[in-house]
Amino acid sequence: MSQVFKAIVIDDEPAARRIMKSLLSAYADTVSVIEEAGNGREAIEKIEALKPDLIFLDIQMPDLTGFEVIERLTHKPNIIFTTAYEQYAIKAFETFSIDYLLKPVREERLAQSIQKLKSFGRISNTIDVSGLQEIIRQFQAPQKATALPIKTGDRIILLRYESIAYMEAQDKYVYIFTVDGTKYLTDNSLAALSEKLPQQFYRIQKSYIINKDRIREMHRHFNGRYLFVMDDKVGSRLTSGRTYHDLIRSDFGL
Amino acid sequence: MKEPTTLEYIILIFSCLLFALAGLYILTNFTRLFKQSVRNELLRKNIVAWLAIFCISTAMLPMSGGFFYMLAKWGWWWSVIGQFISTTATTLVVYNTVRFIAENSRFKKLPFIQHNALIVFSLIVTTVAINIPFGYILYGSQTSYLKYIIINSIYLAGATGLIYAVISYLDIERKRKFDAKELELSRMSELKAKAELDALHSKVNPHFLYNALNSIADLSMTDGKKARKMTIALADLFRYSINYSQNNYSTINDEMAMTEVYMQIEKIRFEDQLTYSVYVEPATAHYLIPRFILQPLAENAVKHGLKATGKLTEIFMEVRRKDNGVIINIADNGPPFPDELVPGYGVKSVFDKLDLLFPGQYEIHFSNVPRKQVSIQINKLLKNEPGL
Repeated sequence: MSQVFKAIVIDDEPAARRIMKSLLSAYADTVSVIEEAGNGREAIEKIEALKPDLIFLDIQMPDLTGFEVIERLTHKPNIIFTTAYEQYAIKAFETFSIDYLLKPVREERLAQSIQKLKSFGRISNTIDVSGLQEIIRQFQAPQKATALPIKTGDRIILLRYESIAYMEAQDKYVYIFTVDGTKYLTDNSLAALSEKLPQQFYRIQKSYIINKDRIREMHRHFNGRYLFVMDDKVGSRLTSGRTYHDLIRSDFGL
Repeated sequence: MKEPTTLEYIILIFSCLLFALAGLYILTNFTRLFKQSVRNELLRKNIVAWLAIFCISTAMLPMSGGFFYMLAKWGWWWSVIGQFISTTATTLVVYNTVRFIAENSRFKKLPFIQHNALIVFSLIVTTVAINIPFGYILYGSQTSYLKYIIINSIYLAGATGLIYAVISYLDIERKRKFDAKELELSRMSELKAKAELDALHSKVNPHFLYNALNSIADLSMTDGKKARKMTIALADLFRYSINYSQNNYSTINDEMAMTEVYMQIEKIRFEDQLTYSVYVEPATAHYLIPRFILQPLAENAVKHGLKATGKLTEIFMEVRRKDNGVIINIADNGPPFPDELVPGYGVKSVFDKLDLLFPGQYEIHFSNVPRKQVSIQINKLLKNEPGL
């Protein structure tokens, strides 16, 4: 008499849980579904309380991903991942030879997993979640920020980088001037902004950061300064600070 | 009359050349001179024309013997004054007549050759008309001189007129070429915008497609009716997203209808976890907005709303008139937007579409109070007309 694995089915879609249970009912001698969970937090609670032998774990859930769920578990059951689309996760699974099921789940594929479970008594070695996530991060193109969130009162406005011409510090505040001539106020400091912004934003003076992609003209000014004419509606003219002279010269290849 | 010395000839030729150069400079910069200082266009043009005529007629003085005759008869003082007077008269009569004919829209409608022939003709007539009384004052009734003045005027005015005609012909040619190029460029940028939009349209979130297909596969075994409903909804949504008619715009009504189809699919997927409501102010329903901008935002709202687990996710979408445009609000009851908001694919595509179709006329903002919502304000009402 082989072992019967106590299982929990975790998926954010009720229909997906139902169908998984109904597919598993064909293997009642190997797997018995004792509980189900509709989101990450619920899953953690139930796993810790019921200590199942096996979980069917959906990767993409609204509150936590399947990986985050595993990271927070103290009880480590066998895991069969289920996913509809996560191509990067799939690559990672294959790298670590981790068992996973593609949704919609095929009966034959499920049979294979159950067979493996039956013959080995377990699915795989303990899963190295951080290694897994590292691989997924490598595959996944990092989501680059393309806009600067500006908080004005209760609202957040997204200013797209390409729409910003330059920023000017005044007292504790920074004014952001867009290409179409609108002015926005933010209470971030210029230094803080400068750290957050991508390469194309460039400090030319104590109180100015300009968007390099929005320079229309650049002139040599007297006294080791440069005059930047910006490519905005009004053709704003900004002069660089004297102390920035050498840096500007080398950065712009002058 | 005393014969001038060689030095005097050189000085004369030199000063004439200087005047000619000054005249040419004034002509080439005709439209730019005094633009800052003299606001009245007619006055400014007359001043510039006076200067040009003065310089050029002074440069050409040695060609007609009149000036030297006058010099011998009345002396320097009166000769210069005479030159001023004749320049002023020429400017007032000749320049303004020709300008009227050249710029008046009625004459402009004439074919190029007729129009320019008329300009040359009027130039000759007015020049002769001006010069006859001056000649009379100067030479009295000596007919041989008068004949000389008339022939000289016809010759000068005719030459000037022909030069003008050639220049304007070249100008028109250049403009035509430039316009052709411009047209080509604008057509290209339109094509580019179209291509960009097409690329944006075709990207319906693949996650969503897979998830929906998965749900259908599941439902087909448990609830055939729901599976059928979802298949039909998915077909509608994808037909809309494929955009056979290649429209960049959609009416607010259509956009909202498609977003509702999307919401229905999500509602089937998440059953009792999700509810939504929609309001479209009737006065806005038939205005145009970029196609497929509501669905990505609704998708975001669903995703964010579901994050707050353990409670019913409520989505609220509305479109209202605001200022001189419309405002679209999409609200959910998930956790508030963080201050450090990073736009995802959906928001970026919405930005891109608005940038292409309503450049500088829209604003997107995110707010957490009084309710958590994303708002798009479009400050332009675009009527639904064929060809958009």
